[in-house]
Amino acid sequence: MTSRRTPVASEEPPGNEPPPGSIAETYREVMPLVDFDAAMTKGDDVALTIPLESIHEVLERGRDDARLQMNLLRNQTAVDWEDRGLEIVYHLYSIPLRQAVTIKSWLPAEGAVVESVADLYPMADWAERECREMFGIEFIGHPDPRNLLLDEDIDIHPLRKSHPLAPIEMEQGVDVEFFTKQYPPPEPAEEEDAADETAAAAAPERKRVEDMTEEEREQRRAEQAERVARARELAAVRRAERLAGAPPAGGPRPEGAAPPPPPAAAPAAAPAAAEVAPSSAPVQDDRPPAPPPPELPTIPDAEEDPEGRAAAQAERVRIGRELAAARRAQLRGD
Amino acid sequence: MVQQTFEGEVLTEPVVVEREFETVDMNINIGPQHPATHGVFRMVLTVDGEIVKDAVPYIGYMHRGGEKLSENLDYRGALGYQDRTDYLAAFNSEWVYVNAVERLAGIEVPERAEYVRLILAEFNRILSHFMFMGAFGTDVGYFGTAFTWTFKERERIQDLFEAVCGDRIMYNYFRVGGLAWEPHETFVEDSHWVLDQVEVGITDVDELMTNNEVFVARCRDIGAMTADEAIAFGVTGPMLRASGVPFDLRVDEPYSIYDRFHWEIPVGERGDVYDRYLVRLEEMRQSVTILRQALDQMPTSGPIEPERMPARLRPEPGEIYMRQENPRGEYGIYMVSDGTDKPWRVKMRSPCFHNLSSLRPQVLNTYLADAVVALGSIDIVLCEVDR
Repeated sequence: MTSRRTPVASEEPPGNEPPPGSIAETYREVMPLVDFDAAMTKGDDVALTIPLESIHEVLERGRDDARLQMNLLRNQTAVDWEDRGLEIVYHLYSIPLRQAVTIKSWLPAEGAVVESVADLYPMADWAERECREMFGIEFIGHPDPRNLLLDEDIDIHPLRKSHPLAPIEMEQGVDVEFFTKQYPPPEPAEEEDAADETAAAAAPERKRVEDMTEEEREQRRAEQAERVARARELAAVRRAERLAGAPPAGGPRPEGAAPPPPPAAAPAAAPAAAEVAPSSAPVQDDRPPAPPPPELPTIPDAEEDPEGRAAAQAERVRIGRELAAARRAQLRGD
Repeated sequence: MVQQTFEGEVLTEPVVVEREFETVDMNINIGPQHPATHGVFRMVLTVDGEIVKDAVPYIGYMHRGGEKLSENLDYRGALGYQDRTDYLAAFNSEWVYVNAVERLAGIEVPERAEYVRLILAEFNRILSHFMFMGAFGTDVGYFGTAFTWTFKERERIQDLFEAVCGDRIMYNYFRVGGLAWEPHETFVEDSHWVLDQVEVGITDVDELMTNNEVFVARCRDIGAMTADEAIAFGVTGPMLRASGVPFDLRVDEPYSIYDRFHWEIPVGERGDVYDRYLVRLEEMRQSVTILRQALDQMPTSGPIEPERMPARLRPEPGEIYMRQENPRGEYGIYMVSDGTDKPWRVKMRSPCFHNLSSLRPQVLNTYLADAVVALGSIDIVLCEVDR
C-alpha cells in the first residue's frame, strides 16, 4: 500500500510520537511483522496507522493476546479526506487493563473494500452497516449488509464530502438561500418550473417501494441517481468558485451595513398568496349536493302500538342504510 | 355442564377435540408508532405461539444527519444539535461536545464552570434515571403510579434547570470554554433543597417497585446477558454494569474533576432486567452523594469563562475521541480538525445505538411480553440512536 503513507505523515506537526512504554510498543511486540505508524491524538490516545489488509488480523490478535486484551470495540467510523482517500477508524479499549488505542487505515476513495470485523465484535455489525451506507465502503464478510439509518433502497453516501449539504435540499424544494444566503438566487423562471415539477411529482399518490414493480424501482433508482448527479455538479461548481477565491454571496456583512434585501421570490410570492387567500376563504364544498331527505315514518308510542313501533323503527333503519349507501356511491363517483 | 351452540342445540356432554395442529410462525410488526417502543422504533418479531423466534429491529426514522450538519457549521454553531441527540440527558451530551472542542483547541476551563457543569450533569443523570423508572414501570404494568411519582421528582429538577438556564429540556447552556452566564444567586441552596426532595423520591420509588412481587416476577431473569456478551456488543453504562463489569468512565478514564469525589460503582450479578433497574436506582443515590460533595466544594465566586477567547476557533489539525459517562452509557464525540473554523469530521458515538443492537440476542426464545420489558430496560432514546 503506497497510499498509506502519503497524506498525514508529512503534514502532522512533529513531536507527537508516543512516549516510550506506550501501548504502541506492546503492539509492535505482539505483531512484529505488521507495519505501524504511531502518533498521539489530542486526547492523549495512541493512534496506530496500519496497512489495510491487516485490519482483521490486528484486531483479532489485539483481542486475544493477554498483553492487550482489547475486548471492547467502542467506536468504529470513517473519515472522508477527499483526494487523499478514506480513513477507517476503530477505537478499542481494554476493560481489564484499562488501556485505549485507536487503529486507523487508509482506503482508496473509490471502490473501498474492507474485511468485516463483525465476526470478532458483534458490535461492528451495526457500526459497519452505518459506515457502509454513509461512506460507501464495502465490508467483505458482513452478515447483513443492508441500509440501517437511511431508506432501505436509497443508494447515496451522505457523509462523503462530495455529497453536498445544501444543493440536495434545494433539489428537495427547501428554500436554502433564504436561510444560508450563500448561493445566488435562482432564475425566477427556473424556480417556477421547479415548483411546477415538484407539485406535479407530489400530486400522484406515492407508491410504496415494496409495491413497485422491477421497472418502477429501476426508474426510481435512476431518478435518484440523476438528482444526486445534478446536485454533485452544482456542488463542484460551488466548490470551484470557492477555491478560486470568489467571496461567498452571503458572507459575513460588515457592521452597520444595511441588511440584504430579501430574496426575489419572497415578495413575489407574498402578494400571490394574498390574492389567493380571500377567494379561498369560504370553504367550497365541491362534492355533489346531497339529495333531499325522504319522509320518515313517525314512531308510535310503545304502549299504544308496540308492533307498529317496531315496524316503524325497522323502516327507518332501512331507509337510513339505503341513504348511506347511496351517498357513499355518490361520493365514490359511481 | 351445559353448552349451547349457536344453532340452539344443547350439548349435555363437553366435546373433547383431539387433533394435531400444524402451526406456522407468525410475523408481528411492533412500531414505529407504539407506546412500548419509546419512540419511533420498529421491530418485526417472528413468533411461534408466544415465543419469539426472531427479531429484526429497524431504526432510522429520526435520522436528521446531525453529524453532517455539525460538519457544516463552525465549532460553536453545532452546539445546539447536541441537546437534540439525547434529549433526556442534554447537559451530558453538551458537556461531551464542549469538552471535545476545548481539548482540541487547548482551552482551559475555569474551576467554577467545571463544578457547575458537573453538578448540572449529575442532576441530569438523576432526571434521566427517574424518567427510566417511570417509563419502565409502565412497561411492566404499573401504568400510572410510577410514572406520576417519578415525574413529580423530575419536575423539581427541571424547575432548577429552568432557573439556571431558562429552559426545561433543550438547555444550550454550556459554551466552549465555560458557561453561557452565571447560575442564579440561590443555585447552591436550591440544589440542596432539590436534593432533599429527590432523596425522598428515590426512597418512594424504591419502596414502590423494588420488592413488589409482581415487579420482580416480571423482571427476574429476563433479557440476561453475560459480561462477555455485553462487552462484545459494545454495551456500556448501567446495562454493562448490571452484567457485573464495573466499567464506569468517570473512574476508568477520569475526566473533568471526578477524581475529587468519593462514591461507589453499583454492579449487578445476573445481567438481567431486574439488575439493570437496581443498578440505575443505586446510581441515583451515588449521584446524590457526588452532588452533595460537589456543592460543598464549589467555589462561591470566580470566573465562569476564560479571560481570552478567540472570536473564531481554528484548532490545530488533529483528532480527538472524547468520551464520557452519560446516563445511558459511553457517549463519545470523535472530532477531526483540519485547521479551519469548521470541524472536518464529527462522529457521535451513541450509547443507545450499541445497547439497542444487543436487543436481538436478549429477546430470542423469550415470551413476547418479556421482549417488551427487555426493550424497556435498555432505556432507549431514539433521537440519540438515529442522531
